[in-house]
Amino acid sequence: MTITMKDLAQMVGVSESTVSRAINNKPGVGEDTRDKILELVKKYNYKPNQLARNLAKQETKMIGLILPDISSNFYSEVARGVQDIAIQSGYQVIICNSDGKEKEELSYIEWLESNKIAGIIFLGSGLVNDKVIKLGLSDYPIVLANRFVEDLILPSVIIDNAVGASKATDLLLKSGYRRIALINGPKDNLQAQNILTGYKEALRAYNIEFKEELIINGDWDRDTGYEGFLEVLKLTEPPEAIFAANDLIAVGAIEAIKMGGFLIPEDIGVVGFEDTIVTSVIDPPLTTVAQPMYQLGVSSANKLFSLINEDEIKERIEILESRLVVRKSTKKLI
Amino acid sequence: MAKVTLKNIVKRYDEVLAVSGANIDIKDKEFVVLVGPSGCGKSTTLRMIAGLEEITEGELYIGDDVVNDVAPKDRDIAMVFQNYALYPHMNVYDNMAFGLKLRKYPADDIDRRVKDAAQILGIEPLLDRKPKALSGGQRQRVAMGRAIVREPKVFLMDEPLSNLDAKLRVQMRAELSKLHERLQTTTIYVTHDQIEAMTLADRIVVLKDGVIQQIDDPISLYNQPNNMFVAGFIGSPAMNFLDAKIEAKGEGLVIKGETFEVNIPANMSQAMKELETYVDKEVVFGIRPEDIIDPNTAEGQLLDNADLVDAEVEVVEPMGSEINLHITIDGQTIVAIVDPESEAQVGDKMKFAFDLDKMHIFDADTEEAII
Repeated sequence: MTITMKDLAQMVGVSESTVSRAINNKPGVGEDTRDKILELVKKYNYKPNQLARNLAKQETKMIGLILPDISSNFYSEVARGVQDIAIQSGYQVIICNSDGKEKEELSYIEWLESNKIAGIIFLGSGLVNDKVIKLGLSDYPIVLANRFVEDLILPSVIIDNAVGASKATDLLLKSGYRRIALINGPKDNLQAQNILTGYKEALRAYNIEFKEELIINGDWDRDTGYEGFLEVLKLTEPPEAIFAANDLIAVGAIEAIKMGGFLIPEDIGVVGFEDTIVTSVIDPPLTTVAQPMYQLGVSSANKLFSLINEDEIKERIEILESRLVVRKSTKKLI
Repeated sequence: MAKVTLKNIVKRYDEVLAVSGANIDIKDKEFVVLVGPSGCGKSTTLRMIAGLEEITEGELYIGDDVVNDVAPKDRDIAMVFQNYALYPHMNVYDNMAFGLKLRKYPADDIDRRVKDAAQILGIEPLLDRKPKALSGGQRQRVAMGRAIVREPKVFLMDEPLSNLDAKLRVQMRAELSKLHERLQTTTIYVTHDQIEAMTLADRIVVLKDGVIQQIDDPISLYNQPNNMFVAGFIGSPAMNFLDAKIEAKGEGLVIKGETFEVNIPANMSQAMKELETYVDKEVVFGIRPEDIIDPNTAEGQLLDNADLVDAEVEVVEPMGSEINLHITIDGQTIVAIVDPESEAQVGDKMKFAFDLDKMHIFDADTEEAII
């Protein structure tokens, strides 16, 4: 005899939602009632009807992707990775630009929830807000892409920038450069701090003393690269190479280097970070650390669909590493 | 001042009342444990205090301020869950510091907080290590460290030890106690494990089906449970319950089962008046396993106020420092914890002493304690 959730509810004398809570171990069910329900589930070998479940959950075949700005090279590449996996799974992606503002994010979360979106990927930087933690605690499918949470474990995919920075610095050292300046993002920014960590690690491996004067902090833009190079040029011992913490900074630095009449890579080597489309249009072609942006999207989406389908997730926190792309802005390896 | 006050707090999900009318006054620096079986409302209550669950009715105060509508991040609390995350690519220092870095705390402030927390937790030598190089207990400490560096007014801990193996859990319990001594921070802790509650708490809040059964310090809860639920939940092995009746006998009262009779001691005069109203009524007689004594042992010789009861020994479980006996009285099997020198054997029909100074009597209908 096949019984339904409705039958179980009638047998125990409770609502169907109470039966559902008992089966899914959610709060709001008295202990005796829960025991009675679980006994009947076992007795009748009750299995929830997946179709009915979806109808009851009223989920759409859509997932949400909340990110700061789709027009950014980095984020659009990640979104592409998400979309490709979503299409394979028969889902559409709703893209929500938050401009990094918490208020916007909260609005989107509310909207996505009320429209029964099946799950959400949070892409960007920084800590997630408390609403995300609350969703995570309620088992709503959520994946964090390059976002962080302190209090509990949520499936996450993170790019390890320290390792990438270490690779970039190491390449410059292997190419014979010794005085390497780092033109970085804001000093109090976690990504910038991770890049600095990787840079220092590589120097340590070569027993090269870290010099504060070779570190410039600014915004993640061309001006920072341009001004940053001019700054380090004033030093008694100017650098032989620039490690730019993103490709836009690299572009600015390269402009300044060329304006100064220097040759790249013979006089000054340059390594960027990210490998966005920018690298293919500047001269010389930029040696850079390719961030696995597409992979970030693919891995995040894979995890999200595992949650939606209630499959096991092998790696709750997946760390992605960048790879070096050697082009023409650094000397050949010694 | 980090007191936490719940005034008539209610949580309703649709038609289900998950927490009803919770009133709890938690003092500054107190370690309070919410305990109860799965589904009793303890985690829901903790999450309402954290701001991760909406409060349906009632008022929540942290200090003197009502915080019902205050966002979690503004409540100056730090949570520790059972499934915490250590980022595998970050060392211990960064795992503790990243939240502060993302909140843009000054670098020297971060450094001080992390090193202070590491020193308190005894993990200073581990700051450069990655999580995979840490033991389970060390990882747990790092997770605590992440909460400690926030220097909150209140710690909220939701079954933080549940994922640890039994041995580690015992070790971490002791560490948590020491930590609380050092940090002197108000802590509200949720567990389903009554041993954890008893060992850690200044006071325990026992919950069942969303209703607070009793709030008391561990010893009072153990010795003076308000009702059968608390009596049976706190203490392991659990309190034994036997159906019985109160009868008048001579000038006093007795508790009578089918085959046993126990005098209610005269020194329980305060309760006598109450008990007199129960004469010839059904009650439940409660006695803890350790208060059932083998009269042939040294412990049995020392008893002041005891009556002897016939029972048959069904099971003997030697535990080393004591022996657990499963004995049958009135067709019901109960547990006695006796001295290791007891010579009771399976099948023995013998007398056992009930320590009358420690007995409990409950109303059979309301399950409330009479004495």
